[in-house]
Amino acid sequence: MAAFRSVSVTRSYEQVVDQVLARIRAGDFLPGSRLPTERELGDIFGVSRGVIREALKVLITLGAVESRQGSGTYVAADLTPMVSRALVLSARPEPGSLSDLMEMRAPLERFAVRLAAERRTAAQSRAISEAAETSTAAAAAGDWDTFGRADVRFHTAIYAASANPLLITVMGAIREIQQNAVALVSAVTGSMPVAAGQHVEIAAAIWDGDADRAERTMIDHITYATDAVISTLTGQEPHRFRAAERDIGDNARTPEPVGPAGR
Amino acid sequence: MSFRSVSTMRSYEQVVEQLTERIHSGEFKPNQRLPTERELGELFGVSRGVIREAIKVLSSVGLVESRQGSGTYVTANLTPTVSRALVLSAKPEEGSLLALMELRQSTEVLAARLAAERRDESEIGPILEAARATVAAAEADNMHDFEDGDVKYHRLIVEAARNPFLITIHAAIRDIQRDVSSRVVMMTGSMIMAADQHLRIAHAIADQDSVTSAAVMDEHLGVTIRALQGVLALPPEDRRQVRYLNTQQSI
Repeated sequence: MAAFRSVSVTRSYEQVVDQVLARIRAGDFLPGSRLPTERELGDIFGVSRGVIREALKVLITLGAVESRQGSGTYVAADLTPMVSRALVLSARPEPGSLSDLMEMRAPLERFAVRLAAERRTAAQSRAISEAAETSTAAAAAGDWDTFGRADVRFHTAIYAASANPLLITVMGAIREIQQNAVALVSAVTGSMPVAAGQHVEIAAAIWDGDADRAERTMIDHITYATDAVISTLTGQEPHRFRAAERDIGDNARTPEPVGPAGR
Repeated sequence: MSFRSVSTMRSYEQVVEQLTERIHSGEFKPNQRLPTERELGELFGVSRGVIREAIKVLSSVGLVESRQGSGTYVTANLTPTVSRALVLSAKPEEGSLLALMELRQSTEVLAARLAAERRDESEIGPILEAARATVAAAEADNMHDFEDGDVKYHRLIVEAARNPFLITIHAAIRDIQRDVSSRVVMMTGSMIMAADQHLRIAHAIADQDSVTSAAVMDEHLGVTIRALQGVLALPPEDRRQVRYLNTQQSI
């Protein structure tokens, strides 16, 4: 069936969609910037406003542009949701979906942190350390919300420092999917102070430009997060440290294994 | 923009959203036929025009496809949608190829490990066969056949890893690679060496030796990355010479 589809003639609005995407990619239309009006776009692409309107509907659904009431159409400032939406749809939910996601996330996190240690600028390194310290203070205060935000900032800053735009997008998409999936079941898994301690260690390794150490620490961090999330979702060994240490959502580590060995 | 077009957009968007949700939740499965426009109109309480609008959008996004004379079906393969989204974050410039190969390396090392752990017996034959096809192409110095075999070989390994996210990301990466690499020298390293690595990985997968399959895959893509870094370090005018020099015996 797929073969037949590619044979079919591309409709004119689809051609406009492809061309607008190509211009976004080439940097002619910048993220967050206002697109030309429907009439101007019609002139640019040599098609009617009706065709442009069709194309814009598709682009909005894709998440590539957004319409702001009374102000026009803008290129999306962040294209990550576009990828995560497509990824979510491509891998339909079934038992094991989240473990598939975590399985893919682990090597990418290791890789991102290696690149970050090798390539980070001084400012990026400071941002990573600052987020790690904020997560530590939040853990000490038992402030789950602040910790959660610092956690996202910490990891996002590492992706940014990897200086690999594809990795940044894919990791952003993976985290978004994971957060949505975990939020459905339970937002709390694992120990906040231990995770914060890991953050600080990773940040220090990145600061020192020590890719091997950064990677080793990240492996511990992610391995625990995977076990914690999956054991929470499967209902095995739930929340062992919850009462004692307060718990966190995404990335955490406890001193003892939570799930059964080999999980 | 007038009030009217805003409100029209809202209703088709709601239909798009609800249909997307049902596809995502698995209520509408891949290859399943959607209700007719009229039935959908009744279900959603909107006109057929709104439904038609929503179907058009869903079909452009790649979620559904119209089959002539037979209706609208849920698409089985959403990879084109992912690659279209991912491609936007890769600027069409030479450095993108390096970013792409880096992403390939980390995903395919995982794929090689998981494939060795999870492959079933029936997958061993095709993987070995694809590896041997690249060996034959390398020996015949046939770059075109080598590339065809190479794409197939890597795809089979990723499929044997049985991780749907990995399969989608890998396919998207290869889509983008095809697109980006036409702009850059892809001639990095020897075909013979690459084909030999293919064979070693294939045997490791057959033997369920995940440590070896992952290590050789790491080296396999690492060679390309290092060569690419070397090429990108050259001034642009010299890169062209590299291309001519290596065209005959390299990937």
